Amino acid sequence: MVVSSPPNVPPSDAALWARASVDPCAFGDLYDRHADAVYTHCFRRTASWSVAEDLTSVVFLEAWRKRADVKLTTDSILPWLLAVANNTIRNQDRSLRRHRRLLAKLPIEPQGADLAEDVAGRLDDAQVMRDVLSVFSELTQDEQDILALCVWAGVSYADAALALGVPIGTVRSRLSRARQHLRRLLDRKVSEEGSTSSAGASASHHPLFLRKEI
Amino acid sequence: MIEIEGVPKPRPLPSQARRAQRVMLESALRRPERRRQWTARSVAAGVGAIALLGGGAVATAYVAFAPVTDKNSVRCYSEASLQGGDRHFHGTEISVAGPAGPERIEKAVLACSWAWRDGIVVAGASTARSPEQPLVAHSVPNLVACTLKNGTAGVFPGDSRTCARLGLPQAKE
Repeated sequence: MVVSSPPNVPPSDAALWARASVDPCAFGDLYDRHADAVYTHCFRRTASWSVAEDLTSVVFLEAWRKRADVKLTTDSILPWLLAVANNTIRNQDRSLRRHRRLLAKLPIEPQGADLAEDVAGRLDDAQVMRDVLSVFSELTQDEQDILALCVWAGVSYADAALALGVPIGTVRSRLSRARQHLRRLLDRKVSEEGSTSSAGASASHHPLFLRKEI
Repeated sequence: MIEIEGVPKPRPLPSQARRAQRVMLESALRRPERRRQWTARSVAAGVGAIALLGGGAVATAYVAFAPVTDKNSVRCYSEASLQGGDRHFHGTEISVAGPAGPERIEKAVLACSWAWRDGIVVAGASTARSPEQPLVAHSVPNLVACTLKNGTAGVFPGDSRTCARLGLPQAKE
């Protein structure tokens, strides 16, 4: 299959993916296009920027290893990459071990100028994410995966269904169950904090979580 | 409907890491795929995955810890690599002779930092060097102690990710 793009138009994910098997630079271009999204997704699931950095490269290695299963949704490979990321995070130790020789080639650099400026922000992010995950992680794995994909990463139901290889109805029902479960967890957390707080707390005023109508 | 708001905004991958990862990925694609040979890895007693996410009981961050069971010697590696295996590893093994035999080395990283400082361990060198006379202080890289399969401590230049990358548990303090 030959896929080409008009001049001055960036090649589509499909075109780059098709070319990657004969041109690794095409895979590198796909990496450049989606690494940040994968990195943020991995951070939100682990609350660690350094672990997310390692997992980002592992996600792309796993994506290539499982390239026979790739699913391109609306010409974007990102939803599928994030689904691969979910699986990679679920099996972190095995994934990291599998690719440790390649990971060992990555230098552990000292903090660069672009990191030094936002190190305080990243530390704050990690603390916020740990607080979020303290509740989030009580959901089942499927519930965590679907919430992270559809709510945090903004993947549509249709794209999530294709990326996960399930019917769109399954995505909707998993998301609905996840939200109900989350509601119960948040209510419990708020009432626990309210019982220990002298000022009392209500769900609508929880400092971390907001309620909003969807 | 309730949503968890307040998740941190996206941040870009650090530029140096991005460049290095891209090079690594393209290089990996250029290599012919080898047939994968799975070997059972022996696991040191007491290895477990422990979450390092504040006080929450959340098992989402991978860090494995294992106690050092043999403190009679410490292996100081000159690079973050297990190249050479047990017999020809790059670095040197340290033991401390006491009046009643080898003394236990409680602080593996400290012991190896002395070896680096005295120029006995040099980055990337396959064997130990004799310290210069008079002693010259050499720079000591950031060191991390992992627990080797035989229960001794292996100290590598690197950071908290090094042990995981090498497939080793971090030495439990």
